Amino acid sequence: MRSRDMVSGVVLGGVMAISAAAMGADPSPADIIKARQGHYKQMGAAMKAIGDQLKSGTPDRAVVIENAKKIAAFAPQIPKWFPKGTGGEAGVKTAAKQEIWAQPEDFAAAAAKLPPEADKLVAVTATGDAASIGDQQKALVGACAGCHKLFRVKDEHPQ
Amino acid sequence: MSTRNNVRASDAGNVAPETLRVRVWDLPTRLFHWLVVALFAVSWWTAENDKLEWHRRSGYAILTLILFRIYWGFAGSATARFLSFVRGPKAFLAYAARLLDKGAPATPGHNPMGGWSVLALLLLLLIETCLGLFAIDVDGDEGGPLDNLVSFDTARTIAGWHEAVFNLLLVVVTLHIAAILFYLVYKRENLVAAMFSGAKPLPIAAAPQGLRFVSAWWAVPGLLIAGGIVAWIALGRF
Repeated sequence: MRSRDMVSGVVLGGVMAISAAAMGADPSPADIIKARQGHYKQMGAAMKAIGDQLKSGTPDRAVVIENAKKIAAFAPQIPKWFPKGTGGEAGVKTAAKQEIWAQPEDFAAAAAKLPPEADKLVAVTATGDAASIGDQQKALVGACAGCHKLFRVKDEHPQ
Repeated sequence: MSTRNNVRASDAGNVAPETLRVRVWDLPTRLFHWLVVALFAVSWWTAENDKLEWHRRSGYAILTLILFRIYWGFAGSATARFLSFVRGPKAFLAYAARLLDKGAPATPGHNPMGGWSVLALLLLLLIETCLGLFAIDVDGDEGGPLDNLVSFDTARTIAGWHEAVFNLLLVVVTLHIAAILFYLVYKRENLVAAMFSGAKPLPIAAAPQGLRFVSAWWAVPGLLIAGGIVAWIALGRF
């Protein structure tokens, strides 16, 4: 009996180890949060790069377009960065509010406002003057802020 | 520079008869103090409520005032000068030893301990405003006028320091207010009233004879220099 228990114990342990390894193939909530924060940081850096250009008074269109395209590429992915279980319950410092999962339609609607503004900035930068680029950059900032105000905890976001 | 002796006989009934109301703070020092108090509140509120446009302006005003105060620390009246109120460890310890002694004479200007708190506040405010020049918000959108000189990551790190130094400022400001309350309740010295009126009731024995006061007009060149430096930082494209 004893040895049989041991055998089943080993088998069970092996199964658990294999399933844990299989689960490990999927990113953990903590990994998802970290990746998401990495993406947002890249978007922040792109925003700053655009802002730096606008500040100079004579923006380098190529730099603005390059960074506007970066934001445009990230923007439609945002809803996918927030699978269930990647809020505060994941045990990682995150500024994601529970409302993201409590009001998924509202979150999707707020996030959906970003891609068109980012695309518009690419288009405006190609043809418009510095003032219209500036105006569109403000519209883009507004789209970011619109979602952040509702779904991001103020002051809790990591550096 | 004019030197005036501002010792006046005390208003009877207001203060004990053996004290004199002595002018201790000049107008620029008082205005500086209360403007910084108001702008500290403005800066705090605008940061908490995402009014970054006004947060920047408030920061420019504080930086201008701090630069002015550094100038006034050399050019101002006796009690405003660093050389008069920043005292060595000997004076500091001697004063600290009598801190709880209600019979210890009041100091006309900053006392040897308070002088260091003033210096700490000025230094922290200078550091805080200068950090703000390079800081940026988490969205990479709102930042200081010099944030374009550093990378996003660096500007974010600086924003972290900007917050840490603010928390440190809150600690020192709390100490400052606690000290004022201690003087009010324990020592019966109203330092707040003195910072408003400029005059302090002092025992005749402790009243200084002929504290040097310079004309408030001497503040103008300092203010122009300070404002010029800040305008150059804020409006210049670097």
